[in-house]
Amino acid sequence: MSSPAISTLKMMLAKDLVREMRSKEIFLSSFLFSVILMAAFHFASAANRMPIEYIPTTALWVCILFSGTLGLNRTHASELKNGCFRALMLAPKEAGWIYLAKVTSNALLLGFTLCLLVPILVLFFQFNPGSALFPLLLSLILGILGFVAVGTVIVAVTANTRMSDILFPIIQLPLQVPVLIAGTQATQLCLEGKTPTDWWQFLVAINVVYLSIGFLVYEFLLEE
Amino acid sequence: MSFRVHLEAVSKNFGEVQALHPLTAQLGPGERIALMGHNGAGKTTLLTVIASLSKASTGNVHYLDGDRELKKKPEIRQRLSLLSHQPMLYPDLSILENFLFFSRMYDLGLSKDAILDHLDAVGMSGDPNRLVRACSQGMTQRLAFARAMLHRPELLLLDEPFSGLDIRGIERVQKLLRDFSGTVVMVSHEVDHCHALMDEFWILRRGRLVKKLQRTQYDRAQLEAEFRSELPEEL
Repeated sequence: MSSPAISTLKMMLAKDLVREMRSKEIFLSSFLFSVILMAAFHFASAANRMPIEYIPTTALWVCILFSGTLGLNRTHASELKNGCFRALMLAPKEAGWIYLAKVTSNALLLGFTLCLLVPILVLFFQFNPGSALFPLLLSLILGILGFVAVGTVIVAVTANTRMSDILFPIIQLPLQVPVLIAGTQATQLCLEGKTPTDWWQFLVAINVVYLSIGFLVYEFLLEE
Repeated sequence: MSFRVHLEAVSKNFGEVQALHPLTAQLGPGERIALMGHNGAGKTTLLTVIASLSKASTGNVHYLDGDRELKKKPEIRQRLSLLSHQPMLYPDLSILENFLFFSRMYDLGLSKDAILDHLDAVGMSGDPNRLVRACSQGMTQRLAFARAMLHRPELLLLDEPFSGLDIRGIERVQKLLRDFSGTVVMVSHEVDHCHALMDEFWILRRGRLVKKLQRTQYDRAQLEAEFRSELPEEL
């Protein structure tokens, strides 16, 4: 990776994180939404006497899906405010690096939100990964990366359309199916004390495919 | 400075609406062109096509450095700048943070002092730690102009640069434009500004370039008369 590319990544990342630390707009909305989802799962599982060992996986991935969608939408909307996204596109940088920087900051924000959900998982579902912590983290990191790799492209494409709030989830959800299947399978196997090597390989492969496509097409997708 | 732009039968459609009919023109080094026309005449569309933000529906835009055609977007975008209706500044960052960010995006590596000097030209160096969202519309417009000039572009594309500015702001921007040696394409509805600062006037009507006038041949009143004569009756 060339140094201009690294410096673009670092600049964009620092800018996004400073903005989010100051406004807390995306983090707060994603976190509060996730807490509501967790609470809904808690009451629903109690009412239906669902086996508790399957709930953390479901709850985590539902949070990634819905809070992630909400977060991506808000991140991009804040970038469109004041025409800032145009300023980025006008900068003499390869759009692909701007895409990768956006993926990184979106993944960090979503990952941070999930970290703060751990106490709620413990409280509601007696969540205790124990020795599965690191495999679980790897599964979630790979899953989140795949999720935001797709979402960052789709949210940029749908942002300038009418009904973008509706179009974004409708278009992105089918594309997220492989990530969701692999992510949930890997997470559940980790919690059962198994090593989901095949699913990790699948997630790595799909991340490479999604990130490569995003890197190459970002510039063309954003032309008005 | 030898940066030129050649528009070759460039048109732009938005669905069934033809915002810009095929237009062929050249923007040479140091030229100062005012784009004039009624609302919806295609002025802003033309600017965004020249800025490489919007792809022409038909035709081609060629960016030339001497005889060499520039193909890579970063290479082209290093040479030009756009001031649009939006300030293109992050509201949650301070003035200084915004300019440091864009200085790095353009590989300028400007120090804080250099940025303050740059802001001084638009009268905005007094409170660099103020958040952009806490600035008034006029202050934001001054900042937007300073941002557009930050990397010393060879082609400056301006869409209503005097919008929201007070009298001192207008004077400062006018001075900066007079001192600027590159090519300027400016959209403005203010005939006074166009006549005072630009050398050539392109009048657009319903997406067509209908007149090209030279300042040497038209005084201010004649220019306004020409401009008014091309306004559609119903507007």
